[in-house]
Amino acid sequence: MNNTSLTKQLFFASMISLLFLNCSPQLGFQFQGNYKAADETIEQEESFVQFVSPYKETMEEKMGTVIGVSEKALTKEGRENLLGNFVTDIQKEYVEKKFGLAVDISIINNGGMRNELPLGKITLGNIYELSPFDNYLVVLELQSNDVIKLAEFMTERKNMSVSGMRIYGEDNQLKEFSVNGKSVEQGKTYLLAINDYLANGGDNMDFLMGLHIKENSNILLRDMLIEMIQEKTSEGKNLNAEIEGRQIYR
Amino acid sequence: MQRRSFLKNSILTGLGLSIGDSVMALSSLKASSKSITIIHTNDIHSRIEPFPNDGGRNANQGGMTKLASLVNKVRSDSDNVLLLDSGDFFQGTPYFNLYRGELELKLMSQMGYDASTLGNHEFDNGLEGILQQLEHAKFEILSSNYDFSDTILKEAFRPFKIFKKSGIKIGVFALGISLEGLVGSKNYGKTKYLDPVEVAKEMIEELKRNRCDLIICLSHLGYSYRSEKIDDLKLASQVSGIDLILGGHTHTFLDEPTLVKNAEGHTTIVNQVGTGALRLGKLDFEFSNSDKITFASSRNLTIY
Repeated sequence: MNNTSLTKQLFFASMISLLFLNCSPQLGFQFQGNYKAADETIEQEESFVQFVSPYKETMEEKMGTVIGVSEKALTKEGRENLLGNFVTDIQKEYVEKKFGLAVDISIINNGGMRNELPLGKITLGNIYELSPFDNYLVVLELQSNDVIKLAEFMTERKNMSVSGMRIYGEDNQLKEFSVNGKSVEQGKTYLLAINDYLANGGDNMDFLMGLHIKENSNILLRDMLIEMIQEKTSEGKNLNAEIEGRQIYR
Repeated sequence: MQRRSFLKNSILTGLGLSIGDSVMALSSLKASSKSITIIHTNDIHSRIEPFPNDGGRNANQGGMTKLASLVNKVRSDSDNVLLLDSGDFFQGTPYFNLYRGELELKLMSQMGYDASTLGNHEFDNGLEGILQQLEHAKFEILSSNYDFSDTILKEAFRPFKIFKKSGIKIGVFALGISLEGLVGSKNYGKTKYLDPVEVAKEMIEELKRNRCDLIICLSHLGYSYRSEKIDDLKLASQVSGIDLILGGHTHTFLDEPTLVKNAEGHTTIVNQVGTGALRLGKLDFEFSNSDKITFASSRNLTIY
């Protein structure tokens, strides 16, 4: 009998004796929250592996389908990042094509992009990993003060990617920004391409809740990406993005 | 009463003497009692296989194919096992996107789950998406506080179920999280959300009327929030009568269960085991001859 089990037995016995001494209906309780101690490595259950196998083959076949080629690795490195610029550009372009709406700004939360895209072949699986959640494409109407709030939020949090807007901030303060190269005009309505998670106040974007919804689509962000990449490929175009000073923070 | 005082004395003597004696006292107690083993998961999130071998911190760990081995192992060691889940078995890997939950429910059925409940991600393909997959679940999916009566899921779920193991009656009910703002409104339609605290009180009353010896709540409310939002800890402090809350939603890896003693003196055990079948919660309950809980112990197991 080793020391650990000796301590456990003593503890166990003393818990029970306490229980009976008090003659209380309250239950005694013992924890053994030691995870490393859990026996040996657990193998997969063979019959389950067999059962899953045909599902897995079909899935891997489908996920392995190449839908495009990327000129470079589209990563999430940096506050302004290649992947975010790529996705928000695609989102803007898609809404313009699909709904015929002149989108001013397109955003995504960097946390919502769950994996990066590699240089070279892009598979369906890559896009599922990038966008595993079933988030829907939404278009919101913003007034000039809402656009300012958005720019201030982005400057403070630095967790968003954007297309259509340029921001310059210092010490978490918004210093300068423009939409499509112009200052924001009072009285003008701006269209924002976004996903339903953020539009419903996710990632602390409460200020977006209750804004007028121009388009509440049932199109998944993932399906949007797949469709656009396939379209570009059929036109002989590769995937690409540049860091071009959309967000500069000092 | 005589027997009780004998036990008390022998245990105290045992402690004063040697380990050998205390172990004997222990085993004599165990022989006269019944035991129930509760094993449980939450937020499996379509983790059919272990996490991919990509150098990440969970690489090769978790997943339902490994979980099945561990469940078998526990079953071979214990007689009265109840396998429970607290929801969000859907969504998280392409298996869900492609097969819409069929594989998750089939594997849970094969593992012999006794009951689960609806997490918010079960609504990811709408009410239709739940209805289409229900035939694959050969276990009980419980829901006590979603009112589906005006929807296509009318009468699809029971609010509670009573399991009998060696004469011990275990009452299980299930509480879901408020869907508004969390799930797209078109995905839950005319589902009505009922107050978890009020529903819990009704369920406890009902289960006690049915003379349950152990009352378990499968919860997808979440472990703890700083805000006023209801969570497992608040539920335990506001409601008396739940012995065990098996939680989910917040993907909380509790190193050991939390004991909540409320103002009325009732103690509830709250446990939650992360996500992705990376852990299996295990709680052993001992019952006296009169089927009262005398002792509980816990050891959450890692699936690596």
